[in-house]
Amino acid sequence: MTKIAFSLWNKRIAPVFDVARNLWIVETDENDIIGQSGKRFATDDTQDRALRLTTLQVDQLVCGAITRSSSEVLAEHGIMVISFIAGELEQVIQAWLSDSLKDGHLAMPGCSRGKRRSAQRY
Amino acid sequence: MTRQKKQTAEIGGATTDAILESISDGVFTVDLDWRINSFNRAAEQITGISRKDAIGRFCSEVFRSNMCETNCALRKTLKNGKPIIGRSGYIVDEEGGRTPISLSTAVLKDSSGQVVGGAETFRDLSEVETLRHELEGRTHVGEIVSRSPMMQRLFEVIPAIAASPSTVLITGETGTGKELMARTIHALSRRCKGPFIALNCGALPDTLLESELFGYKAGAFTGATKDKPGRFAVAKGGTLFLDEIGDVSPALQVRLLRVLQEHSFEPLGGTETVPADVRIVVATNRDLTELTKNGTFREDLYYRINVVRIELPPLRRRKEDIPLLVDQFIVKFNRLHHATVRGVSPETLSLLMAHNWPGNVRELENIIERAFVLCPNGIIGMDHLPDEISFRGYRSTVPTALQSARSLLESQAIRTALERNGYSRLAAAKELGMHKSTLFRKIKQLGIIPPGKDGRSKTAR
Repeated sequence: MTKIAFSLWNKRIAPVFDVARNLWIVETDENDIIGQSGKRFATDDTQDRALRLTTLQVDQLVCGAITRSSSEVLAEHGIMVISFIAGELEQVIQAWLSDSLKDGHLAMPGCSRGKRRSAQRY
Repeated sequence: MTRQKKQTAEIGGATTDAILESISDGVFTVDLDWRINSFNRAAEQITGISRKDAIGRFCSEVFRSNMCETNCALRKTLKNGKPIIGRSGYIVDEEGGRTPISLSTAVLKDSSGQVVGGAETFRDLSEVETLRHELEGRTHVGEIVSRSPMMQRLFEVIPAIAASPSTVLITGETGTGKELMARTIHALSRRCKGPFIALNCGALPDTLLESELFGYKAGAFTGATKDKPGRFAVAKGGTLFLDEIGDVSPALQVRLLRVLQEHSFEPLGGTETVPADVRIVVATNRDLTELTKNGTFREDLYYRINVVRIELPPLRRRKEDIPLLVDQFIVKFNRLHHATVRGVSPETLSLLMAHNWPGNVRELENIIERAFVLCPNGIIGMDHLPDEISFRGYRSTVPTALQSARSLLESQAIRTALERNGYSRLAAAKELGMHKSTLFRKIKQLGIIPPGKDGRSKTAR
């Protein structure tokens, strides 16, 4: 089972994760969606946000632009980050399920393809 | 439109384009659906995004500013028609770097006065920020700010300490910034690319702390269904920060000593020794020398961790840093709370300077955060401070600037003399070597409240 968080704003992926307020959490089991729910971030503090995602047991984060420092903190918490993605939430979820996010057709302008940073969860 | 008017409009349009292309400020315009319809050369340079990629896309996904989602200046301008000038923020580039910017907004109208979109002008402040940082560099190391001579001496040695692989012991009262110092050492060290893992040894029971530190193998104990790496393993290639080291039990002290001596450890239930590729920084607010004397802390471990020692002074001994710290917290909370606090009033700063700060920098940070709740914009005043700091609470707590040291000493001496003489003002005045009328005046002036009965009433009976 994999839990993916999509940072959300106006039914699209939020432009900047560091200040994004909302998350859409999707639970999948072998590419089938088994649960979905909306969550919120209470603060913009990087450590608090990483902790929130860890508490929600999120394995992967799909987001728009993200600062290097935020990305590193998430990696320290063992969360894989697929960043610089733009598009309608539904479209991005489908692309994740079909493993086509890395193709680049949903990359933010000026970003050739979604970037991934990851680290071991502990 | 006549031919002449059309020609004039074309020339005007071409001139505007030429101007927009020649200026060093980035400019883009959006339609009413927030899609970009023009993007000048400077905008391409600052954002790193070509005009071809930007045109037709949502401005928030091209501009990628910290303001887009919750605090969009252009949205506000289009709503109320008022331009915004010089708002500060940052944009995020493709590599995740922050570019500081200042931006201004305007409404775009067509020839009939109909609103057709908005324009945003932005300026790259990187150079200004670099210069500012260079100037601030004298009072900053990492995120630690100070202009106190005590801290300046520390600042001089921190780069050398960070560069060495030695274990560091950080001591200081609670709230003096021990973890921040540990993070700074990590950030300046060769291990900065590795993780910084912090663990509060005082927060966990002994058995849990052991498994957290060293990890365990599946089957090591009931409930251990799979392997779990400990903090020593997770911090591989980085820095492990152990806070409240003085609270570690004697049994665990032995295991820690072994890791420090042999640079390796064994996970619980494991049979193989794992090398510990970590730099260790420990901290405590307790007196380890005292703890070793009374046998609570192992002497050999103490000497192992006390290789390089950093003693952080309490805030009351570096009060000259208070204005600098206040400014730093205001910048931080303005960013976190989307607030626009400009500073603190001179009277407020005087009160902050006069406070004793038992909770140190953390207490100051909390007080500024509290003030932000009551005052999200403008200037923080005395009313936004808690009672123990503001004038309202001075009677019951600590000295403030409003009571001079002399008044306080006088007040204390008078109270003691009165108590010792059974509240006889005459006897107290004699003891204090002053005339009784002077004593009466001082009692009134200093607001000393006499008890129900005094020496006179006692004598009268």
